[in-house]
Amino acid sequence: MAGRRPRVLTLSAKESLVLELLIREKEMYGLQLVAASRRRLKRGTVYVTLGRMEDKGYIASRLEAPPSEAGGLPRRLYQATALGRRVLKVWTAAARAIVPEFAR
Amino acid sequence: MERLIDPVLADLQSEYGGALRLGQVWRGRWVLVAGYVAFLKVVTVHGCEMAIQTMRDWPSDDRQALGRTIGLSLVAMLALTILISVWPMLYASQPGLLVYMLPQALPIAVPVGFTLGIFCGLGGRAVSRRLAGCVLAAALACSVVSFATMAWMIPAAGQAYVSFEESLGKQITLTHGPLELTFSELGRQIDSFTRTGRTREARKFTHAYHMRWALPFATLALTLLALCVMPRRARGRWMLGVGACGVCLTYYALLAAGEWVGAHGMMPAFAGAWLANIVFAVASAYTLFRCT
Repeated sequence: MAGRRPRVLTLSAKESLVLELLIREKEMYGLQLVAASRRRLKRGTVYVTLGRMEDKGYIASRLEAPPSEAGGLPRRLYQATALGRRVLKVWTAAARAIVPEFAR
Repeated sequence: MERLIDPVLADLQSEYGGALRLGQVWRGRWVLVAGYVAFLKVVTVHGCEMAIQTMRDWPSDDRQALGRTIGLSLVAMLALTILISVWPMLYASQPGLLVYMLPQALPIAVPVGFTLGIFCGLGGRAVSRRLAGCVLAAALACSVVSFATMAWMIPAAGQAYVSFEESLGKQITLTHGPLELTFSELGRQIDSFTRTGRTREARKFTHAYHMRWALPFATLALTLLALCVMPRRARGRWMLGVGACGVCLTYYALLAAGEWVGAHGMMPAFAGAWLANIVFAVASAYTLFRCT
């Protein structure tokens, strides 16, 4: 492990919003996140954000059972992981400590 | 696919199906449109991310060379566009007509500018296959842009210019040249000339029709030959510039020769229009064969 730098865990504003919504609602579809965010998340980019968060390990996803009507694709449900919850907690605390006036 | 595309489509199907079940036809249509836009966004954003990620794995030399080539090409294209379109407008009565002249400059500015960029950006160094592939892909994209310009923008700009002049009360006596006609108008004009026995005009317009397909490939043909004949050892920048100009002049000389022999019936109009591209493709293939 000598010479390897630890990966810095970053959290963008959109990613923290996704984590907050998933922690509140437990499991959501992509479009439900868009609706719940009051359009702060966009339809096109939410899936790219969710894919990136899954790569980082902040969220996990599972496929729902395929719909009864023929030809329908199964929808993907997203939930926050333990790592995602910890990262959100740490970043929120850090934001409050640095700029308490602007912390939500 | 399954993490990006499938969720977009699954959510779209579910929302659309839900809207139709409730009898909300217009909402269903809006969902479809929004869903298609979201799909295109996902593909575009993911494609760009993949391209950037791929380039991060490139050696820094190749990244810098590609950046230099694209930067120099854009500067050269801009300079040539200004030179070709702005210069005549300095003496025109209505300098605002520049906007109608700009599309006509692009089919020349783009291939010549790109060739200059390649010689100056990549000349004097070894070019990896990855880099050459990327440059060829950019040349193909420029060819597509040139085709769109020649097929639609130039005829539209020409017709808009005529309308603008007529709106100023000026009597336009000039007839539409081949450049101002759309594909279907060109076809009708060629048929008309052929029926009335006007062979010379028919050949001229037939040549213009085939040129509209052949000229956009100029960027690709010039890029292919430039990558093959470009010096691999360090040379002065001025020599590279001269080399680029030499390649471009040869191409346009072949274009003019093809037009002349086509107009005089020594060669079919199709062959005359594609002569330069064919010669350059053969020369590139021969040079590659010699190198390998």
